[in-house]
Amino acid sequence: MNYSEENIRSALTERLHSAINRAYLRLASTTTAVCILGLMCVFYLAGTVFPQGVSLTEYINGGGGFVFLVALLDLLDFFTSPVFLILAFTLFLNLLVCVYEKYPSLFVKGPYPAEFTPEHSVALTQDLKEAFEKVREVFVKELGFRPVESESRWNVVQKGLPCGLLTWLFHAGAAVCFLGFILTYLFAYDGTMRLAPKKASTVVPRETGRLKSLWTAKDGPTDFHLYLDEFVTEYSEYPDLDYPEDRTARLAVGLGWSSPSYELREDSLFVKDWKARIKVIRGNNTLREKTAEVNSPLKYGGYTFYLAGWADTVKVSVDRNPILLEVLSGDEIFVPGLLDPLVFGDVKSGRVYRLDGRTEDLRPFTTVKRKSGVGYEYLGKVLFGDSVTLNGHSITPAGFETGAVLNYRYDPGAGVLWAGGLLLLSALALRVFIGRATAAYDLVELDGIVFLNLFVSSEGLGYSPDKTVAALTRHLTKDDIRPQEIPPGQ
Amino acid sequence: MLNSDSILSMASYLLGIELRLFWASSLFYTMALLLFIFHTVTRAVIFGKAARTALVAGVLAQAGLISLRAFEAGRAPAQTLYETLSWFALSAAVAYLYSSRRWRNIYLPGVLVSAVSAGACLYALFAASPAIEPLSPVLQSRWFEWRQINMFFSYAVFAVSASIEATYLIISPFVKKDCAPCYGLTAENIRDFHRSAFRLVLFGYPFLTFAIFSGAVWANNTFGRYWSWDAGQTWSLITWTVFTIYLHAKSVPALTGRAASAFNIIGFVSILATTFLGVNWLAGLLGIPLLRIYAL
Repeated sequence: MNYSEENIRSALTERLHSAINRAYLRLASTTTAVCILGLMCVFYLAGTVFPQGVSLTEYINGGGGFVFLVALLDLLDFFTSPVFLILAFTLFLNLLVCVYEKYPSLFVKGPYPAEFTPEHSVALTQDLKEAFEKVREVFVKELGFRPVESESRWNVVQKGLPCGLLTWLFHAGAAVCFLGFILTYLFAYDGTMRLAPKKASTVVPRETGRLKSLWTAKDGPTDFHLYLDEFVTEYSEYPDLDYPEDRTARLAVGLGWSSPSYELREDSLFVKDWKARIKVIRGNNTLREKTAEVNSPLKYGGYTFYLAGWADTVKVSVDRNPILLEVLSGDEIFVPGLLDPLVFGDVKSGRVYRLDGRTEDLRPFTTVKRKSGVGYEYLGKVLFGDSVTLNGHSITPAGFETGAVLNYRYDPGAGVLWAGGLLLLSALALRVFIGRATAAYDLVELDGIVFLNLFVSSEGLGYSPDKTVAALTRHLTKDDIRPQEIPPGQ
Repeated sequence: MLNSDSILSMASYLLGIELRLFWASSLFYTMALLLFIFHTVTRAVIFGKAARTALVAGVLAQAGLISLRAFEAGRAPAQTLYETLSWFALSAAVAYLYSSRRWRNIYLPGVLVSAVSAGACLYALFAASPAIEPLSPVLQSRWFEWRQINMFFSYAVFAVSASIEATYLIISPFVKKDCAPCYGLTAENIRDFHRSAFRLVLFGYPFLTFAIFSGAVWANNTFGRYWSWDAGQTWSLITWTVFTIYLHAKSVPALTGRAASAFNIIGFVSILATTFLGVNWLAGLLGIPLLRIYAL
């Protein structure tokens, strides 16, 4: 045997081709898809069982078990771990190969089987030619089927949508969704910024996408600024329900022995909405203007800005001193003359929608707490302009400013995902809820009687073979063709 | 214009009616369950018919209370735990009544369906608050509404499919062996009966897919991330994946039989796990600490 370099190379190439072919065939199989999806399920389960985003030390300190497994498989950050990513990518490949493999079959008509097994047989009284014309007319004109080319003696008619194409389209949609996930994984990043009222702020990202982070740690600042024109908070008044926690007492309510009742307590205000009027500016030009709300973000320059919340700055006067101290609500502030720091709560201001339909502007107020040992002593509610006296010092919340807290995100994958999702959902809905009916019929004459042999099948939920047969029978019965169904096989 | 006291009195009165209707529907579902069990034990068709009637009564009461709540709340009543469980129970009973409308003397799947409906109602009544509270701004989204409605509707449809699948798995060996009717199932009708389980999954699948997508759109609009791998989202993805496996398995000759049936049942178990046990039940079972509470 000649072990020349050329022979070895040729043998290796052949083996490689054979291995690639085998891998390709394996990836093109539905069984492989089932196996990968099964594994994905196990992985998803692992991701819900183990807490995500915590450190191994926190996990161990929290009393977590299976430490070796957790560390080995990176189970605390499982959805970005190599094991999970490799499996997800294999599923993507499987999807791509299946979509690619099915593509040529979309342009192939049929092939329908040369023989169908008739599931219904109907005796007709007409002569063969007349019966043929009549059955064809009923199928096409009355039932809306269209004839399909067939190489067999069977006449094939169809109705509905091309299911093969729809199936292909929703798999293609799933592949596009996957592409969206990949783009998000590689390029997306986010951050938080605070917009002070009547001030322009620039987006200064603290990071960049995973791929770009290979050569740069963070993206540059944007060439536009955000300007917070106005921030509005709205409250609605809501009642508490006096309803028992105890099961027996609840049963008593059901039996009508007691009744639930709503009660309105003082200051039972619920944040109904918060809105920020934001301008996108460059120099003296306003490029975009929008009132952003919780579910309605502002989009500009590839970024999406989500209104996450607000931050209040409380201005405090001590002993009527015109020089005001400033503190963010929730933060501690040391006031001259007091040993313990104070904490001002969220400022309640804005419009209130009362239960009886009235609306009114709230007189702004905040709450005050004083640090006491390890906890806080609640001192009460204070209206702006009013004072609380502590250790002989008058503390007056004199004013406040409300700024907007924005989450920003750059994600080129989201649009791709929505496009894929739209394709997937529309094709899936059409495929499942409409689908297609296929009927094959054959007319044979036996001892002077013409028989209609019928096979009807359907894909999707829109068409029922039984209903098709019933409608056909009804139409054939209407005129002088009198069908008489006989059991198959006779 | 009504004053606050009148509004509160009216709201309390309507809630009282609603709760009585809810208890009535729970009672009807429980009666249906007992009658279905009698039917299973005695094989008497009369119990099956009575159970079906009780189920219809439960559906009517529950449809009434859901309509009343929609009127009271001024929104689709499928957003709190109390509301989604009520919607789930109604959807399961309606899906069962619709899919069984042509069955003759087959009542066995009703055991599981009525148990699910009764369980969901009693769980809502005993463990959740019926108060109609204003929704936080985060939840005031049509996408979130669609997510909830479609997700629990699809879960209900899958529950009915699983009840048919379980009946098929239990009864088919007897039917094949004896060739005699067994709980209304015969060698002739068992194939069509089993096929209805597949058709139900096929019907529910686009609803679950749409629910997951609308949840992603809602999360993207609200939190800036369409997917955050929180336990709730991941469990809905697990359910979706299991039913995807089921539908694929149905097209593979080697898997179309008991393997596919097993996936249908597993899908139902994952629904039960999320609906009744909560998304973190498995972690609790394995003693794994919940160090991070996922935001919705």
